[in-house]
Amino acid sequence: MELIRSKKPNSNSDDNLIPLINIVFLLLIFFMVAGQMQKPLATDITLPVSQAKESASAELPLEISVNGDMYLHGEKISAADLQTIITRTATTGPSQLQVLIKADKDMTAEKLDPLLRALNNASVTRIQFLTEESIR
Amino acid sequence: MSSLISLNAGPGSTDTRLTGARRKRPIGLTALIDVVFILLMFFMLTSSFIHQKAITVDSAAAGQSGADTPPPAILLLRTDLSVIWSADEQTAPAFYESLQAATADIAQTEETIVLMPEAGLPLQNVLNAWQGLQDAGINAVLAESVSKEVADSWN
Repeated sequence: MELIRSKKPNSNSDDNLIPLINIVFLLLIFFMVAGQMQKPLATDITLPVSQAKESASAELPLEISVNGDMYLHGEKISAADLQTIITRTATTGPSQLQVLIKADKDMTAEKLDPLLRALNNASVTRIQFLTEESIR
Repeated sequence: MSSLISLNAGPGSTDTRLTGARRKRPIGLTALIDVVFILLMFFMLTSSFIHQKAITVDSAAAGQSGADTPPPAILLLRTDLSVIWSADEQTAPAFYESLQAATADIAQTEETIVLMPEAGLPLQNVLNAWQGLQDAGINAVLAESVSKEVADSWN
C-alpha cells in the first residue's frame, strides 16, 4: 500500500506533460516549416514591395541605405570602391555578373546613379532589386 | 545465499528480483521538453514570414546607342507622380492611371524604351513603373536620373 502511494504522483506528473509536449512539438514544426531564415541587413533598410515572383540570386549583394550609403558584405564602401569591386568580380563575363541590390524603398533615384554608372562602365546591364512580396 | 539460489534457479523460475533488475526505467520527459523549448525559441526568434523576391531590371549603358541609331524613346517619371512620354505630359490624379495611359501608347511602338526617373523619385515608384511596363509586355531599360530642371525643360 505504501509502495502504490509513493509511485502515483510521479507517473501523474509525466502524464500531465504529454499535451504540453504535443503542442510545443506542433509549434516547433510550424516555425521550422513555414518560416524562412534571412541574413540580417547591415543597415536599417525597408525593402520595396512588389508582386515579383523571381527568386534572388546574390553574386554581389549590395545594400544601399536611404541616404545613399553603400554596404558590401556589411562593410561601407565608396562609389570608387564599388567600381573596382564590380570590375574585379565581373571576371566570368561582365554580362553574367548578378548584382543584387537591397535598397530602401524611400531612397531617391539619384542615389542609384553611382551604382548604375559603375555597372555601365563594367558593361553589366542586368541588376536585381530585392523586394518584399506584397500580401494581396 | 538467497541471491545465489535465485540466480541458479532454472528457466521458468518465478523469482521477481531478477525480472525487476531487467525492467527498463521510463525516460524522464523534462530533459526532452527543455531541448524542444530551446529549439522552439530559436525558430520563433530567427524565422521570418516575409518572403523576399527580386525584380530584374536592365540598365541602359551610357553611350550604348551609336550615331546611326535613332534617339531612344524616353519615359520620364516625375516626382509629382506624373509621367512624360514623347514630350507629352499626362498628368493624372494617380500615378498608375497616367502610367497605364502611357503604356497603352508605348505598347504600339514595340521598341525598347528608356525609363528615366526624376532625381527625387523614390525607388518604390521606379520599381512600380518598371513592373507596370513589364506587365504590359514593354521592353524597358533603366537610365540614370535627371534633375528637376532638366525634367521641367521637357514641358
